Amino acid sequence: MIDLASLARPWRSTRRGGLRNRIIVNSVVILLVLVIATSYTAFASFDLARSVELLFRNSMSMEELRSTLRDTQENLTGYLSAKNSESLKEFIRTSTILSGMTLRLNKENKVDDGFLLEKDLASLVDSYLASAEGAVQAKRGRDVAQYVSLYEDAREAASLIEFLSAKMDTIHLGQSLNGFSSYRANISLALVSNAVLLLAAFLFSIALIGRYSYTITEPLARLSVAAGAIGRGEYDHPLPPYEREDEIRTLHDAFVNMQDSVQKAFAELTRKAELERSLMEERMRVLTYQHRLKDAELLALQTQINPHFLYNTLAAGWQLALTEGNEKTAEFLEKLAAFIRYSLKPSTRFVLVSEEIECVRQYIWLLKMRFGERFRFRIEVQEEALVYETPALVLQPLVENAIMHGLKDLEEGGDVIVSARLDGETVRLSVSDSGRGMPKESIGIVLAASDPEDTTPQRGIGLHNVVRRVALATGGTGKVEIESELGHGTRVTIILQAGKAV
Amino acid sequence: MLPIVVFGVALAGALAINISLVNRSRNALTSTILRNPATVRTAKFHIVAILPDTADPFYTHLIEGLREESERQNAALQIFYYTSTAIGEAGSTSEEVLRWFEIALRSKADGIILFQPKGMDVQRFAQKAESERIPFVPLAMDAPQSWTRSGVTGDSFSQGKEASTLVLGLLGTVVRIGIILSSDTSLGYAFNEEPFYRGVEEVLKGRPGAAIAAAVREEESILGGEDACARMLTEHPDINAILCIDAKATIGAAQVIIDRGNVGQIIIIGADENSEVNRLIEKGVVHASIVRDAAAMGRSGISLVVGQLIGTRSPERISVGYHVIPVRGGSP
Repeated sequence: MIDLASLARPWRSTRRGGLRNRIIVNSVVILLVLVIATSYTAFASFDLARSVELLFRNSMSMEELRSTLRDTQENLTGYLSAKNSESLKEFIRTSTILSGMTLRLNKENKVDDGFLLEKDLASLVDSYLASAEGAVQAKRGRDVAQYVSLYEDAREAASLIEFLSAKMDTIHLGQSLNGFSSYRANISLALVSNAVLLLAAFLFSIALIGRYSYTITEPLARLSVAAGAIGRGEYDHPLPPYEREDEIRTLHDAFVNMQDSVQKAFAELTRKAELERSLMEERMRVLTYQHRLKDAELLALQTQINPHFLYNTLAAGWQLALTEGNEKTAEFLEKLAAFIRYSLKPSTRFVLVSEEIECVRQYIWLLKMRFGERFRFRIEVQEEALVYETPALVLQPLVENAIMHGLKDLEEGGDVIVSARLDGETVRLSVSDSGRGMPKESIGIVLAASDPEDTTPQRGIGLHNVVRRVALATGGTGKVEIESELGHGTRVTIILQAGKAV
Repeated sequence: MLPIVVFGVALAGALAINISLVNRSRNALTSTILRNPATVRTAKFHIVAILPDTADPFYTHLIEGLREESERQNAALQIFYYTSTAIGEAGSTSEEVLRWFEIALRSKADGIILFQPKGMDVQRFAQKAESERIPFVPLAMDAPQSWTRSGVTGDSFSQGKEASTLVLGLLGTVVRIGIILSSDTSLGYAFNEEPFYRGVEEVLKGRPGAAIAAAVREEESILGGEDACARMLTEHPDINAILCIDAKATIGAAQVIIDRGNVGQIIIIGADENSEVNRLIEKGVVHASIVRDAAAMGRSGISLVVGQLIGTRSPERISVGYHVIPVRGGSP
């Protein structure tokens, strides 16, 4: 697996050192230029010192050579004139020194006047020494003519050496003077160029400092402005691109990344705030449902005639009827009291379908007591549906509504069928009648009650209440369907998500 | 960015100039005082040239010829200068020249070239060099009668012919010529034996209207040419052309012509070249100058020495040519 961090490290390192490296390189270049110039000038000074030393050394050498030559010649003369052994020893000593001196002189055909003069001088000294030594040998051999001749030759050679060495001094001095004059002329110009060089180096350094100051501070100033803008809340303040690969680029990129991060964070916060607002609205909607439910309950309570008082009264009436032995009345009152007690419980509660069916049976018994056999009731229950839950007191108002609005005005009576069955994942509770039916407009108005916002005035309180309570109690998952055909009856079906009591 | 570029270029330029100047300064020392023998070329031959110490362009060209041929022949040329002001003062010149010649002999030079000083016989130099088996080549304006073997000379005979031909071309048939000859009598020539004179005479043969009116020798002194010319014109006022043997005679004759107001009336044909002669030609005082080929003389001298050293040549006498300024067809 490739380690991206390790790959990025050298690049980062290079970028981080870019500006610093450039400053260092430029400074080194300037220093190098000055070092080179100074070194060259130092070399020239060293050469000058060496030249002066060499000039004096040459001059001294020439003087030493002449002095040794004179000594040798004097010793030669001394020996030849007096055959003095001391003079001979001295002659040998000084002639040896003189011979040694020629070893330092050039003896080749160099294409240079100075070296050729050295060759001439060396040859002259050799010539002198040959004649002088020949004269000594001739003296020892008592060959007077020979030593006189050789002595004269040596004397002439010595004279030529003196002449040539003096000329060489003059020539050396002349050459040196030419060299020094040329050196002086050039070095004077070199000093001027040194001054120009220093000035150029100074101006170049100033220009570089200015350049780098601008390079460093300008992007920082832009970053500063951008930071100020972000401080004022302008998170999308544009930052000009920075192209160079250096430390400022790192800072610039970090700032841009930070700006992006801030913008993303604010976008996320805005999205969350929007979500929370939606949740709040949803909660508000639920609260509104609950509020409407309370209103419905209140309305239901208002529509009842002091049910507790009624229940207690009916209980008293049931006891009275038993006391008086009127069993039929007692049964009636008992059923009525049980029905009222069921209906007194909070309408927002959930009950088992079986309890709701039982309530309907009691209500039908009471209706039969009132209307006799005018209406025919049938209850069709699927056993599996009985264990599921339903909002309480939803079937009784439908039966009441079927009698009071569907069948009431029919002379022949009518049929009312109450059913409860399980249909897949739903429980379907329905009340159908064979009454006069409902106009479509009325059905629409009634079903509109499922909307918590609906405030349409209702004529049929019971059916309206059922529709509203089913919607509110189930949070909108339960619904009511109304199928009706004028003159043929109506069927109201409550469809609930199948849910068992815990 | 512009200042950085400008100052950067200035910095680089100043550095380059500085290095160049300092190098030149160092070279001024290393090529003279601090020169290193190992860096100096070693030549096959060592040739000594003994020349008069003068700024005369003739000798400048002669030295150029010597150096040029030495370079070509792989010879190290060493020049000993004898005092030019002493030319003519036979004693001191002889002594100085002899010293240099002796040094050249004893230093075992491979060859010796000597520009013959006036009044000095080169035969004894030749004999001494021969005894040491060193090739010796004398140089001279004209060959002395005593020269028998080797040497390089100018050709005064041809010079005289060219000068008189020029005069005839300018003046037509009636020509009265005055000749100023060298003060050097060491060659042993009488007036009418001088090669220059004979060259003029050769051209005037068969020209009845043209004749040599007078011939004089310039004096030894620095103004010797002027004196000789003035004397000649006084004695021969009919002279309408003056032919000069060398630059000193040319300058002297020109001064006399200017002083006498005869510019344009008397034609001057000079000899050799230097800045003064050139100036007089430009001004029209001197109509032309016949310049002996000094560089060729130098080249021939070296060539002859090296030829003898390597055995390809024997001692011989060589005459070099001349050229005319302004050239024929110019505006004298």
